[in-house]
Amino acid sequence: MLLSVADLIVQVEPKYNLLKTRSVPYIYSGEKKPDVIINLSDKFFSDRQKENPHLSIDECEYIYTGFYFYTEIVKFDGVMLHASAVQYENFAYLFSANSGTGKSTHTHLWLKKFPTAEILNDDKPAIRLIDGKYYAFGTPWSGKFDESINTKTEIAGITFLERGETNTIEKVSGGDVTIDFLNQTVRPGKKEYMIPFMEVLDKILSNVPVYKMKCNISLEAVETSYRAMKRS
Amino acid sequence: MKLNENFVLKTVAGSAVVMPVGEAVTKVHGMIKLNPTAEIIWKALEAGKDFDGIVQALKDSCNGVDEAMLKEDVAVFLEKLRSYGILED
Repeated sequence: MLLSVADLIVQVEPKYNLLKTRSVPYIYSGEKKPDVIINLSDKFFSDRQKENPHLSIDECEYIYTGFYFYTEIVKFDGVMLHASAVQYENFAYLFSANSGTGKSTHTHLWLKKFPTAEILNDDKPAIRLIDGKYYAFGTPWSGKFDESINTKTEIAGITFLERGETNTIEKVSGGDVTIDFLNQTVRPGKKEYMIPFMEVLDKILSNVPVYKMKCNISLEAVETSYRAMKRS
Repeated sequence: MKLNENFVLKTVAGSAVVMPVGEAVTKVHGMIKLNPTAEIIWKALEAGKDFDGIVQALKDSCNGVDEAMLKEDVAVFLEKLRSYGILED
């Protein structure tokens, strides 16, 4: 079957339920040829499951097709960021951090504060540079819960979160968060992917506003991030 | 002295980062951020410079440094690269 994900045509044949279900909103029935072909064998998934016995075969297919897609996307000026992305007033706001920090908690507070805000992708948005603008995309690969919408939204900014007693946010330079970004993405293993990957990372971090924030769980935290990140 | 080809240096938003690829991924997890001095040394190695060539490259970029101290620092850094398998022979 063909999917349209992050403005790319993806050919994949899901065998298990999780990927099948998550793919439905992305099904493509047009005439375009696939940009990315995901063709991983049953053996590949069962080998991954042996390495990760806590995962079901269903989850293995879901996770590793995601890794595959997010590695291929570097050929199309794109990367994945482990982040929760919320969209509001036509812009996407991305919050990245280690699992368990509270990025999803923070973006869900945005939904409380702003009734028209929506979660674009709760865990693994794709980011692509298209015609000089940086966009975040919902994708079928969005983490534990199916919180992703099939849409494309220009990025207002990317914030790296830490927990704090009070709420503070600081605009930083891209070089200050290079390592943070690298820790929250899929790093390609092959040289022919690594070079374009680093090139797109350089473009993103040189052009998209980036921030470091310490925050608690409150609507005041949302006011702090929104005020700093919003585009005028 | 030769840099292992499985380490790629790229400047990302003004910050020099070395990433392992291929076989090196299993040796070095993560990445290495180079400070400006280390970046000069790395680029000199890429250009095929020997020990004295590296010291000269550093002298050219920063005035008034003590040469003996510089040599010692370069030796320490090269040893570190060797210990990670980044610098071969």
